Amino acid sequence: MSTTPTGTRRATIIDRISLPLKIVAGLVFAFLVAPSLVVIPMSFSDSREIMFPPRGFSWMLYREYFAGPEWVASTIESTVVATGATALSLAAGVPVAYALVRSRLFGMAIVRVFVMMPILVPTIVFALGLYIYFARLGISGSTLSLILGHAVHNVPFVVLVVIAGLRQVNPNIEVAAQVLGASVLRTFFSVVLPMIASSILAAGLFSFLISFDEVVIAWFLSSPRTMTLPIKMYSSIQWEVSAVLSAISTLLTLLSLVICVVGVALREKEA
Amino acid sequence: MSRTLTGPVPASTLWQAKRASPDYQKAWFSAPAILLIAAVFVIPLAIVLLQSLYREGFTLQGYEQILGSTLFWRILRTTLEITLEASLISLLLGYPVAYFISQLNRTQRAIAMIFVLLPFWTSILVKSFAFIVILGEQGIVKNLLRQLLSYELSGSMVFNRIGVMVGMVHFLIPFCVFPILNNLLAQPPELRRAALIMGASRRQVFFRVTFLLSIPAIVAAAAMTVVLSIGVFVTPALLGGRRDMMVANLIDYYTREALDWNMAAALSIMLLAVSGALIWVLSRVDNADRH
Amino acid sequence: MTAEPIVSIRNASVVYGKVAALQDATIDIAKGDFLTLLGPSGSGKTTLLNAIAGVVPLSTGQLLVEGVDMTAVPPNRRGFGMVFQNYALMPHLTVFENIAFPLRIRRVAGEQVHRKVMEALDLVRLTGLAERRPKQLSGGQQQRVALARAVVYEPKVILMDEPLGALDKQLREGLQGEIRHLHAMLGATVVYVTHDQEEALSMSTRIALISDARIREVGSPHDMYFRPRTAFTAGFVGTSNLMKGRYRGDAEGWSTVELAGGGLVRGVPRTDLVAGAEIMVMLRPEAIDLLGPGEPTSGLNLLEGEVTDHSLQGTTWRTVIAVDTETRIVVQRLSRVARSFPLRSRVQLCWRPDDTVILTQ
Repeated sequence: MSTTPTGTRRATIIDRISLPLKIVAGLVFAFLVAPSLVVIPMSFSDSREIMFPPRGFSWMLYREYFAGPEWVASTIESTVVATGATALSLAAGVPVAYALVRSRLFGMAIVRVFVMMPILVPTIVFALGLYIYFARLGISGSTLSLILGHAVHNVPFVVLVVIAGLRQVNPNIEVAAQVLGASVLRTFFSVVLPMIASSILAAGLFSFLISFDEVVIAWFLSSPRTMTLPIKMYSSIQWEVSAVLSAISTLLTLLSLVICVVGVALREKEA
Repeated sequence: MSRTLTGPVPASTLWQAKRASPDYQKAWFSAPAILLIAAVFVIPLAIVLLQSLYREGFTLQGYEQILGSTLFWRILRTTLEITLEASLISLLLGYPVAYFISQLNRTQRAIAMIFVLLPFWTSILVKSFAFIVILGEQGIVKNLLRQLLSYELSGSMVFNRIGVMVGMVHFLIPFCVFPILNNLLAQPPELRRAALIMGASRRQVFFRVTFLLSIPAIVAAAAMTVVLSIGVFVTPALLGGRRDMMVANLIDYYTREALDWNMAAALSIMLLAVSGALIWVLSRVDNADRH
Repeated sequence: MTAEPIVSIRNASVVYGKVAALQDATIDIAKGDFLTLLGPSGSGKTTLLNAIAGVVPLSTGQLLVEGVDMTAVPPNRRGFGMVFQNYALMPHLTVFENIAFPLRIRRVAGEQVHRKVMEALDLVRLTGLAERRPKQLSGGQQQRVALARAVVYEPKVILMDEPLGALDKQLREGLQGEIRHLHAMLGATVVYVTHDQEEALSMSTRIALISDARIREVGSPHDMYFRPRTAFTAGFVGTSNLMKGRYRGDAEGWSTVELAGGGLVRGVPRTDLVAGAEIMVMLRPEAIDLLGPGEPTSGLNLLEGEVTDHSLQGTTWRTVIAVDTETRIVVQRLSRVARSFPLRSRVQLCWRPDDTVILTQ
């Protein structure tokens, strides 16, 4: 985002936003947040019937979620997968982002395309490839296969966030460190990483959330033993549309809200 | 280290110099990502390609079968219809939102962005579940119509094309807002001010300056929405009916129900080719626009 | 030069793709030198500095440090120090830790680190700011921290890349003095990059003038100003008046030049030229005096002309005189003592033969 003094420049036009524009924007905003808002009151309903507006108030649905062994198991599985995938995608994504921003070597343009491929290819195609590949390797249905698939899926997102952070850093600081005696590796660990810590944290949070919510890859790779929360939800919506979903959805919305606010705050801090 | 003070420098020294240079050393930081993506992305894709040509020996049967099936053509048509309609509606709704946000000051903008970022970061399953509740028989829309207007809306709003479109548009709008908003914020404000001073009306300023300058971002947003929606899997499965099946759902069907990996792989390769072609076309438009 | 140079660059080139950022540069830097690489932006001066630092690899050529080939040695093992225009302090470290950084890498013992950092802080007059963060300091203070960081481990050579470029004029002059002082006190060897010719003249022991990726001329500030060898140097370092002419030969300890606009003048001898050679005559604006028509002159070079512009610059009067239809001569004389001439009046320009520099084109 631009660092121009936008505050002053908008002040002259701000009160002139036309009414139709305000109305259109307002309606779209309402549409955008409606799903997140609808699930909250429903999660406190005291009946298993799915209706809106809900009747009564109780923690019943939350109790049902925390008491349901399958729900808890799939939540734990999702947490393990998201944590592993985040660690792996950061380990691969942060260094390559550094190389992409700082090395002027000829081949880096190719590397850029290479690491961005996972977002250019439809996820379903990638998911099918992983399904067949891991079946051949004999690790299909394992937690490891989910971690690997999600890690690759998340690398481009990590790279984009970390590149944005690195662009804010004066490259001469690294040149200084090297001339002063630090090797490239040491410069990376003791100078670069501390300077982009907030970007890495943001990238990690985003990566965790993407993996935690991911459906398509998990749909192909998980087995009954390694069912992730989204897959459990997916089958629940498909077969029964259980009311517990509103409690889970509220918790997931809360998780998204926290991560999104923290992410925005981290990026603002950096700019 | 030699003490040669005269004479030509051996090429090996210059090669060593290049290898010791920071540019070269930093390039090594790409290694983990390249390894990971080669092992867990490139190989699986290559396997899909091989699988699409293999059924107890090399064959083009998979492709022939697909191209000869009416089911495939119907699903491809559905996929393209949903993709184009959803992309268009998302752009039409996303642009005013981006324009509105671009006119806000810094604090207001941060707050408005939460309205775009929250749905962006919300699980597709939460959204699907919520839309079933909102659009369903006992949902908000129907109940409101019943109670306020005592009007009984005939027909269902979910598990059909309406449900799919609502879900898709909701999913795509943030992807339209981000590039367009970035473009609008990067436009030099002096341009608009200059146009106003030279006598253009606010409407003229918008259409002759702001909008024209934002066309590359619109193209980028369109590319994004098309690529995202063409491979969509969850929304048609949960919010659509049987007639709203898209290519991704067909791939899933062949993989997990029919257990025909050859067909699934051939379909995947065709989906990849179509989305690749679309990306290519749109990047050409984008480039032509910039020069 | 009899002593072995501390750094010597031999036939060094840096090529990016097909563009040569530096071509065939050869220069020696002696211990204690303050060598300024002077040139317009994009001339290759920063590339040369980066090549010395090892940040940019040489495409051809060689770099020796104390006689040892260092061409293939990475920047962190060359033992140099560096200061940048935008300070390049590490934002996550305190002032103390920034200065201690090179010592920590060299595994200097704790109490020694403390002593050396404190000495360096005293040297740049920042005692007491050790625990601040770079962001809490002014631009001038940050640059002094960067200077302290570059000298604290007594590197063989300190490289400075337009260190004062981001500062305003007053601060810049203050820090110029400080850097000169540091250089003199520590006996350090400095390679300094700037595009500001006044800065180059006032700070350096030697100047290398660089343009279009090549080293054009190397000399002391005095020589570069009073005895430049090319018209490019004369034009880049200070203001100069150039007149075309033809070299006639040397006589009585002076050379004789026939000006293209007519008239003979005497100048600094150039035994290396053959009679009849096309040359340029260069005069510094402050070397010329103005007299009214017919006033006596003695043994000076003389030209006549008409005043076309006359303005007060503060310390000096700046007068422009047309000596013929093509040639305009700029004259600068101290405003406190110089006579003023009205516009369009006829004047005589006179100057000493040893201020008349003969340049090849």
